[in-house]
Amino acid sequence: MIGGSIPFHSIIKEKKDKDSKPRNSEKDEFFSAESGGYRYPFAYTSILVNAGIGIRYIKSAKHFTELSFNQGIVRTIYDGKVYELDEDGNIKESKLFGRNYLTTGFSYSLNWDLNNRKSNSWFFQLKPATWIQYPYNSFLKPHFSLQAGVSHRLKKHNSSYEDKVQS
Amino acid sequence: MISLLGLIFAGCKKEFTGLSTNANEIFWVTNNGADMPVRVMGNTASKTIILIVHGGPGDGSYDYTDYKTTRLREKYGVAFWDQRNAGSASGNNNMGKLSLPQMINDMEVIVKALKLRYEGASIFLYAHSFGGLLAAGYLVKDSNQNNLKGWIEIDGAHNYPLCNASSRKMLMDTAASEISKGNYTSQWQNILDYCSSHDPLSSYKISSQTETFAHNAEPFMGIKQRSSSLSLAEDPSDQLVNYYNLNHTSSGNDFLESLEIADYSDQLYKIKIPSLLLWGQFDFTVPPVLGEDGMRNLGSANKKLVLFSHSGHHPMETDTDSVDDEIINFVDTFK
Repeated sequence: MIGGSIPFHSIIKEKKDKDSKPRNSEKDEFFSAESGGYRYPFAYTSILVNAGIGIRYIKSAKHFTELSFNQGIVRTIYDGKVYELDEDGNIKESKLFGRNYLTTGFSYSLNWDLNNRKSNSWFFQLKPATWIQYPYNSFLKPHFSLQAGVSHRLKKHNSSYEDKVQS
Repeated sequence: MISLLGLIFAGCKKEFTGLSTNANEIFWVTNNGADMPVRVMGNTASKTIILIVHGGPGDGSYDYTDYKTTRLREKYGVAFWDQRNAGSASGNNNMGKLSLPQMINDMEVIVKALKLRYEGASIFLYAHSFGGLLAAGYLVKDSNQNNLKGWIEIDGAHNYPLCNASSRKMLMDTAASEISKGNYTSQWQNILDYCSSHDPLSSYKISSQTETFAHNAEPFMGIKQRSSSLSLAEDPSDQLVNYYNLNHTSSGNDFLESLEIADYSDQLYKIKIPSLLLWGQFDFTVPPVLGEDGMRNLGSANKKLVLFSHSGHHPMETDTDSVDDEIINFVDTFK
């Protein structure tokens, strides 16, 4: 999967921890879009496009999590040839045959700083997700996935968390 | 985010690459809202293809890809077809189209696709349980049987009312006999009490419960059963969707109830191609009476019924070698 997100609202609160030291709590609300695919060997390949909305919880300069809700479409492309009947009742190959489905899902990602510097922008991401594909045989087909990868934060969208902590 | 899943996305597509002694390929047939996979495995170079017509309905063909067909795949190509709304067959809003006539039409397209793809090959049917009803419906229609060299019916339910009535009778007769012998008396008494007061011909609900008893009774006769509910489809979520659709939607219930009156016994005389009927002696689900009915009514000059004394509803699981011997002998004779 490859995609991006744009924050549209940030909430920063000053709190005190149990030792009465000041601590910032930051949440970013964001829009996201992503595309990608998955393959079920010896059956089909699916291509996904999603749009979503979510909340990023910035735990520290080195760690943040994201909870997001996604809505999208998926197209399945079958392995091997696809045959169908033509108007005369003869078999013909159906080129580029596939089916479109809607998808709705939730995901929760955990992100850890990769480069351990103050200007951190690359994070390792672990993202469990659940989503449903529909209408699939007139019903819903559930999916569960665990994605692992890297995420990159552009500087202009970097969290104010570091500034607040450093000030 | 760049996911590692992308790395496995670029897999290779399985295309038909010609005949092989160890084929492993897939093609799909799309027909009236359903996309049905057909995996072809084994020795397609033999120019003999055995088409699996699985049971259920709703089960899928994946369960047959194991030891049950190992010897058959060494000698012939075996085509594992997932019927609509079964196994890995997919589509959008297609449950309203699920019916026996539609499935017979699907089977016509599947056989045509096999004949196009494996031109000149001899095709045989291997039909189990509900697949026996579907295969019979296909064979008695028009000139469909001319596409085949022969068919093998394994505990096939080509007559649902006879199946229901004989299942009840076999359960009651066996229960009385086993109780007198002191074998599993409480279990058999439970079955006897239910069957004595419930006629499976009167409602689908009773028919379904009788079928559950029929399945449960096999171990009481020493028949080993495999727990295979999760092996019916490659993807468990497909199995979940199919189970829900058949048992918890009005379309699914309408379809199952429509099968209760499906009966091809009086049309079996139309079937002239060689026929091999294989039955488990202790099949309470589709009793051997159905096999005898086939022998009585089939129009084939070459027909044979074989009973397996250590088997219930799945002789290919419990008497695998003997079943394979019969099938290989039959196919080699008529291919």
